[in-house]
Amino acid sequence: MNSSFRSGHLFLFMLVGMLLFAAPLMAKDFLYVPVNNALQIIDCETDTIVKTVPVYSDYIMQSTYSPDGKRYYLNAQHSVYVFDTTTHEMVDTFRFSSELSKVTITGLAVSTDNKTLFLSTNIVKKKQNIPKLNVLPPQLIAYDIGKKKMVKNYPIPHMVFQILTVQNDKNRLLLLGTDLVEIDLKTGKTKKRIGIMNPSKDEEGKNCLAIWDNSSPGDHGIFTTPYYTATGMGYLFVNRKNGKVDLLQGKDVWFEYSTTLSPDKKFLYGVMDELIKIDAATGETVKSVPVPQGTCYAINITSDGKKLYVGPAGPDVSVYNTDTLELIGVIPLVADGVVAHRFSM
Amino acid sequence: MKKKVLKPINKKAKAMDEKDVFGMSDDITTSMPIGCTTIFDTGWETNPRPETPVSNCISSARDFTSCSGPCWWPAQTPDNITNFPDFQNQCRAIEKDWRNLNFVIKR
Repeated sequence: MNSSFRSGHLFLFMLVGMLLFAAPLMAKDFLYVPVNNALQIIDCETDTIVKTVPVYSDYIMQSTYSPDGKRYYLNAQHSVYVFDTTTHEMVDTFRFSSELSKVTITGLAVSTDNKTLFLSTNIVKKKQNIPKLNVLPPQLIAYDIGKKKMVKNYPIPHMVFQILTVQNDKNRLLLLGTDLVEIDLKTGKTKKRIGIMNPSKDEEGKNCLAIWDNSSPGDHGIFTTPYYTATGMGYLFVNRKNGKVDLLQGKDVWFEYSTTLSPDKKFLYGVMDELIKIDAATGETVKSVPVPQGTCYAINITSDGKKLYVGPAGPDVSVYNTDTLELIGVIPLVADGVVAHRFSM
Repeated sequence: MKKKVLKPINKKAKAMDEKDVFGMSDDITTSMPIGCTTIFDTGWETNPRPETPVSNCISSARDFTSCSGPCWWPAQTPDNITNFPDFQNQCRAIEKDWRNLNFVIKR
C-alpha cells in the first residue's frame, strides 16, 4: 500500500513538473483580408489561403478587431459584418442605413471592454415624397454590441477615419480626421491634440489620409500613419495604451498609404508603390524596394517581426523579409481589397 | 423689380422651406474625403515615377476599386456609396476583370 501510494504521488509530481516546465504553446499568425464579396484568411506559416468566406456582397472599406481578438468587424459603409475569428464564420450583421436615413460609416473601433462599437458617421435624412436632403453634422455613434442598439451619439468634426480607444481611460477616444482631437465620452467635449488641416500658429499644416490601421490585437498598441506637409513628410504615432501622441519627421519623402511599426518598435514599414523601411527613432530611410505587383494600401507584420504582408489593393498580398526587404512570395486573392489585419492565436 | 418671396402655408410646404438644413449654407465644409478630386496633386494621374506601376490611376490599375468604393472620384468612376452600391459585383478584381466594366450613367 505504501509503495503504491508513493508511486502514485511520484507520478503526480512528475505530471505537475512537466506541465510547469513545458514550453508554452506558440501562437500562430493569421492574416485576415476582407476583399470584395469575401473574407480570406492566410496562414502566415505556410503563406497560403486556408479559408475563403464568401458570405457578403459588399465593398469593404475598413475593418477593426475587438481588443480580445475574438471578433473582426468589417465596415461595408452602410453596414458592419461581424466575424468570429475562432470559427471563421460571420456571426452578425449590423445594418445602419434605410431609405429615409442614409448612414455612411467612415471609421470604427471597439471599446476596450469589447462591448461597444464606436462608429464615425455621415448621416443624410430625407422625408417621404419631399425632394430635400437634410445633412446632419457628423456623428460619433456608440453602439451596444450585445443589445444591438445605439446607446449614445455625439457631434464630431468632419472626416474622422480613425477612432482610437485609450486602454487606460475608457471615457476618452482619439479621433483622427481633419485634425487629431480627443473626445470626452462623458461630456461630448472635444479638444484638439494635433492640428492637421487646421494647424495652430506653431504647427505645420498636414495632409493625412488615415484610412488604414495596420495594428494587431495584443501588439504594442501604437497606431502609426504617414502625413505630408509643405516641406516634407512625417509620421504620427498614437499610443493606445495611454493616449500619448508623437510626431516623427521623415528624412526623405516617400509616397505611402499606410505604415506599421515593428514589434520591437525599432522600424516603421510603409507602402504605396514602394516598400520602405524607416528607422523609427530618426526617421531615416533604411531601405526601399519597388513593389512589382503595383500599388498596395495595407501592410502588416508578423508577431515575431520577421515577415511583412504587403497588400491588398489589387487581388494579392506580397510577402517580404523584414531585414532584407527581399520578396519571399505573392499570395493571390479572389478579389481586390483595402485592408488586412494580423491575428495571433 | 424685386422678386416676390413665396411663403409656405401648409405643413408640407413649410417642411420644404426649412432654412436650417445643415450643409446648405455658404460655409460648407465638404464631407468628401480628401483625395484625387479634392487636392491639387499634379502628375498623380500620369505617375511621374519611372518604375511600375505606370499611370497609377488609369482604369486597369489597382487603385480603381477604392477610388470607386468610397466615392473618391465621383466624376470618373461609379460610386459604391449611393448610386451603384453593388458595383464591385461587376468587377471584383480590376486588374483581371476590367473588361466586364459596364456602368450606365443615370439621367
